[in-house]
Amino acid sequence: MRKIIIIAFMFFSICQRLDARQMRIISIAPATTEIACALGLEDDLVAVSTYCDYPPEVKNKEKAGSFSEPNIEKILVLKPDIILATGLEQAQAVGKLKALGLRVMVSDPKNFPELYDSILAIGKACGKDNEAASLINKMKKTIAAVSAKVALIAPDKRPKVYFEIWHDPIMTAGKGSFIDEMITIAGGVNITSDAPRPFSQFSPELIVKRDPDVIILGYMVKGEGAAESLSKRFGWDKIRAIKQNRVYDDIETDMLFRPGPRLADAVVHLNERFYK
Amino acid sequence: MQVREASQISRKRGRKAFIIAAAILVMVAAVSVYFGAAKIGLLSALTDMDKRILGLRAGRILLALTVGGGLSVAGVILQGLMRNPLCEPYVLGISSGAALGAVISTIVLGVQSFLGLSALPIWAFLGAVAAFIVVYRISEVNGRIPIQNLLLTGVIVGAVLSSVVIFLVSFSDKEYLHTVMWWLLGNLQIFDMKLLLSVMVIVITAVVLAALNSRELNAISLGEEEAAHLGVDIEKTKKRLFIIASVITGAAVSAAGMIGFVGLIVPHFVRLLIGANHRAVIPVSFIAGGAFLIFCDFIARMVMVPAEVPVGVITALCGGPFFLYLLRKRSRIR
Repeated sequence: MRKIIIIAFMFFSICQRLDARQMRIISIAPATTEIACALGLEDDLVAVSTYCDYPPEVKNKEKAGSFSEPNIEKILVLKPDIILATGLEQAQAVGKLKALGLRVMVSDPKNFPELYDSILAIGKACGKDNEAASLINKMKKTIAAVSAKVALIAPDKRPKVYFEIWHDPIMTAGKGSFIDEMITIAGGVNITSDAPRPFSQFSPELIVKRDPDVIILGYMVKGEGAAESLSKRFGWDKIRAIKQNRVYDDIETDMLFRPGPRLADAVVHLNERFYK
Repeated sequence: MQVREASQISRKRGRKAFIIAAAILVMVAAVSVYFGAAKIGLLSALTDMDKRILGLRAGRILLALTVGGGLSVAGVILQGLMRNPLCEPYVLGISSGAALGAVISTIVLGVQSFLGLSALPIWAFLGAVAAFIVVYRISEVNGRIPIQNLLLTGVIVGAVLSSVVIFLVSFSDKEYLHTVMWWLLGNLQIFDMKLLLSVMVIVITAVVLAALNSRELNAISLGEEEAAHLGVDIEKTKKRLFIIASVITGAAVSAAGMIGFVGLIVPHFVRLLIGANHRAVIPVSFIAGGAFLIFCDFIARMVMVPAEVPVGVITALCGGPFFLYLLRKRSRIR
């Protein structure tokens, strides 16, 4: 068995060497890792961050530090041709890597059009232009199918949605976030779109007052009984979504929050919950 | 004769201050219950929805009263015991201990954070008591606790525990760090009636116990030798009062996170107005601290509608300059 693997490995490495030059890519963010793998760059990834866990195969890759604290020394040793990173939280690390003369590609989309641009840019930088175009097409198709269904529903018939990111304190998604955009595309009305920031603390009494029809929980840390615990909250038991048992915590959180190819699938999941 | 007159005057002043503080508390609470992010109809025509929102706010106001009043009384106790105006649950490391307990329950044990509403407070409480015991044991010399030892140990243990909190938080997700930070800044959102009630019972019981010890506290705040001459069993009394203060702190931190400045400012303000007799200072501080925190939470709720601001930021912003003003004023009189 081991022999076969070794032979196969040698065979593949020869093939790849024939296939022009192999890129050495390091992705230090889960979202860019997902994009790279969706573009068929999985074998070119020499290292990922400790937070990268999708697709599952990347868990066995070399680790180049955590998401917020990439290990600069290790990255230098691995001699990458290109480093894929995301915005804000990684800005400091990106600055350092750039100062060391490394090529860093930052993907920091704020909405779907920017995500498509980002995927195209990564595809271009890694010689996967066609794959990028077809990946985007696939995502657009998935979303178009949902939009077609939603278009048939009058705006005032769409469910009022409350998306809870965390409960202590109440954190939700406002305008400018993917969550807000996805709720709208999936045919819901985000009741917290007037929050001052994309991710914001929010007044609990306003949530009670706005009386959502559907509640989606997008907690980073999953626990048992999250959906049930909402009805135990003082003053929340009369909220329509809670009375009618329409609190959902079954959409994978990473799928909802990582600005990568799976956002299109997340829209499908949201739509299913809104019109159950 | 003169002494008796003086004590009568001070008692009268205490009673007057209590009534005024209570009146302010009622006013602040009334305004705070009626105004908020969601608009409420006229009192005569409340809808079901209005009633629910009023209920939500009332719960929050009760928590603010309990936490603000409790932290103020904890501050009074610690300042009196140590005869040091800088003492506060925070300085003694008790708050940091509570925070560490809570962070351990959320980050290290993970899953429990969910039932968070029930597991978190217990851990915070244990952390507060554990920090207190550690500080107490380390500073103990031959069965006595010199004040300097206690202060220094408290500051250092607090710093170490805070570092451990930061160490643990640095291993968690970025998003998670945000919520922990929020919690560390104080937050009066309350959804669990049982938690609210248990915190209220714990804090109010502890405050009553503290008030029953105000004679001893008066004696100790004169000086330990003087207290001993007055027949006070100093070490026993100190232990008892420290435990009361850390129980209050643990309960307050568990329900509302770490809210600073309240325990520092309110007792000072009260003492400046009515003198240092703990028989009056403890109840007046409880009421005034409650009113202060209700007011700060009202601002925290209203300043960025529909979002909210951490109440600890407001207490610091309101309390800091006010504290400096009082300090200036007092030094000018002298």
